[in-house]
Amino acid sequence: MNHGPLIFLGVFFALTLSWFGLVFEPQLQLGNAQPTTNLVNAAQLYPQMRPGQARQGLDVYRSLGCAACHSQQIGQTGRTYDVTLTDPGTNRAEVIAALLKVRPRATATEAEKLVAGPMPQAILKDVAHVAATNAMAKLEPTGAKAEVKIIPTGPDIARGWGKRRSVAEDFLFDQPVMLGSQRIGPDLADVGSRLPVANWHLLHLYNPQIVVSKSVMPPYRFLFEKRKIGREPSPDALKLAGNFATEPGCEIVPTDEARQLVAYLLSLRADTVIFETPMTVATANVSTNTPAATNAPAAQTTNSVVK
Amino acid sequence: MIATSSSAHTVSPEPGSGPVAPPADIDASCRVPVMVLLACAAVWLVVASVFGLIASLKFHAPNLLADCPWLTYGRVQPAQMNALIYGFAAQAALGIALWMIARLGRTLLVQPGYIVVGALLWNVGVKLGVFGILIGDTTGYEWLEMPGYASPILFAAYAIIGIPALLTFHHRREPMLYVSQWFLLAALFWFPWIYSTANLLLIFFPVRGVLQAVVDWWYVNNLSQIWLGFIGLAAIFYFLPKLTARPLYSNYLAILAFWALALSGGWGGIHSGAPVPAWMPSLSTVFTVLTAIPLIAITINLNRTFTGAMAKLKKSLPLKFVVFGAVAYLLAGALAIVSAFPQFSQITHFTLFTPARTQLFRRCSSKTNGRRLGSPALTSLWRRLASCSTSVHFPSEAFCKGWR
Repeated sequence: MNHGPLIFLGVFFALTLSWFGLVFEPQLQLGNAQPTTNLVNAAQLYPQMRPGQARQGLDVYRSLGCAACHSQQIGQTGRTYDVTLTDPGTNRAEVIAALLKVRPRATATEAEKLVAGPMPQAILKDVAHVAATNAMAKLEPTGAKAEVKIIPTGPDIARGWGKRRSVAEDFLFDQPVMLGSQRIGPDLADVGSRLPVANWHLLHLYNPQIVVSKSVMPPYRFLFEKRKIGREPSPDALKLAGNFATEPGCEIVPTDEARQLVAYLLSLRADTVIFETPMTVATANVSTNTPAATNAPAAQTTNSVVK
Repeated sequence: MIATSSSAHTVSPEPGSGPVAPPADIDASCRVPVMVLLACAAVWLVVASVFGLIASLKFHAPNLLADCPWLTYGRVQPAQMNALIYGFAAQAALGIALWMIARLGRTLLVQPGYIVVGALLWNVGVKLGVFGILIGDTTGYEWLEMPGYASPILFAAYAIIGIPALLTFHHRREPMLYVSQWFLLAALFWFPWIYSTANLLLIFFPVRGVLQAVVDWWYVNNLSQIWLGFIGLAAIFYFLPKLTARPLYSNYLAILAFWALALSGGWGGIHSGAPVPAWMPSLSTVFTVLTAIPLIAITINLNRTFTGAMAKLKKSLPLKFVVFGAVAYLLAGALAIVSAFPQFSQITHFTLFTPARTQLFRRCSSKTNGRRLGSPALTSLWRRLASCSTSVHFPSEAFCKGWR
């Protein structure tokens, strides 16, 4: 009795199944994926190809094995909704009545204050989708104008690592795609909007402890050149002070690789609103977590347009 | 098929009779190629441990060797993984697989000379690959970091080793197939398929976007669950009855475990929350949970086989390794199932829990030893290395985990 061919066929079948399921079928679904509509800026598709320097930086990122410590995938566990009153309209009494229905615990005085106050006024915070739609259904007939804000939630988002989950579209043009499986360091999927200052990244690469005192990230001094200061200091030289200062008469200048890597890091932004990840982009006055840095490079139009 | 296998119900690993080769001759035919594979595996284990040590020291002293780009953490860590998987685990698995195929088939190993050539070529490939990772030519895909100039060498070397292995299986004198042979035959076919698919779709004709990650997850899961897992199981099913001198409890259960594992084991690896369409992680979770069936079958089978042999465990060192391997395998399998649940993986994913779990899988295949290969010195060296690797890796990982 020769089981050899039988085992071979069975094994072939088993492997073919998983190959079809997790290699072939995903290829059918995503293999011809095209850039999708940018819901904020319909004139521009998402994603855009990374700029040339950033693409070179992706190679530096790959070569140095940054993905051994940094993931590039933000998780999201759900969404909450805020309802904001933007314009109370003219029929104040009706609006107040509607508000009392929407928020049964509020008193009439509170509702009056809310309607009289400067717009926009928060009505509901962190509620489920049903509650938000109900509130809108009650408010709209009164002539008042209200807005629903969609807010992605989850541990990664609570850490400030991103604004929404990472989706397949985010990686469409990258080669290789390095999602990473370890978080020895923080997630980098949205690092470009979280830490938009090139100089911060250069200092951090040169010696992470300059900017993050307890960092265990290795320094990448080999991405920098130490040289004697010529007639006058290079405008690109790192500004190092205190313990981190280099010897007098010398300066630390980033190499091309360092610049490319930083360009890549700054290009990592997972904050575009697309169909798969509905969210409301924060406007200036309700924003809670936009970085305060002023010398940020001009944000791409895809990301800064307000819905 | 079931009917025929039922007749094998109470047979020990080497049943039947016929014009078979005597064990001493079989061992003699295996000696050189298997020794080459195991000795090289032992060397790679040391190399991997050194890389691993450097990598974990860097957690505590980030400035250590920081000015040498070759030894930055992001290169040493994949170098360690690749040395461990392709240098150590794969060679140890192949070595022990060849010997088991010959022994269970009661036939001489076919073309041992080619196998030696294949083994040497495999080592050239691993060396080139690890070197490539250290100089920064890594591909960026986990467990496939070896650059495109190393992986074809590995593939060719595998073919040179695998074809004589299949021929040996084909020329077997023992008509009755033992379940270990099922596992070995499956593993022999599995590797070239997954390795070529992954290399072609990631390195030579790369697919787009996150599909790369999906292919990589599929490969990593198949390599650890099926390839290393199957060879480890083959060894456990071979050595446990042999060393305890008790027949395997149930051949039915073993074959059930084989098919259930072959069907459900190759689907895991895509964690919930991955940036891919939701059906992929869901499918992955479902199939990972299904591996509970083979896992329970294996547990019952091994447990019933082993029951009553506790006294032997104290006396026999090889048996200790086998039992440790079996326990590590079952634990790893159970943890894999638990981790498939999003509630659990939300906490453990991205931490060192995941690599620690895969280490457990490797332990189970690394418990193979140089038993009866004719060199007591090598055997003892081998065992020392195996125990050394366990004692180095586990505390360092546990330590890093605690530190995190």
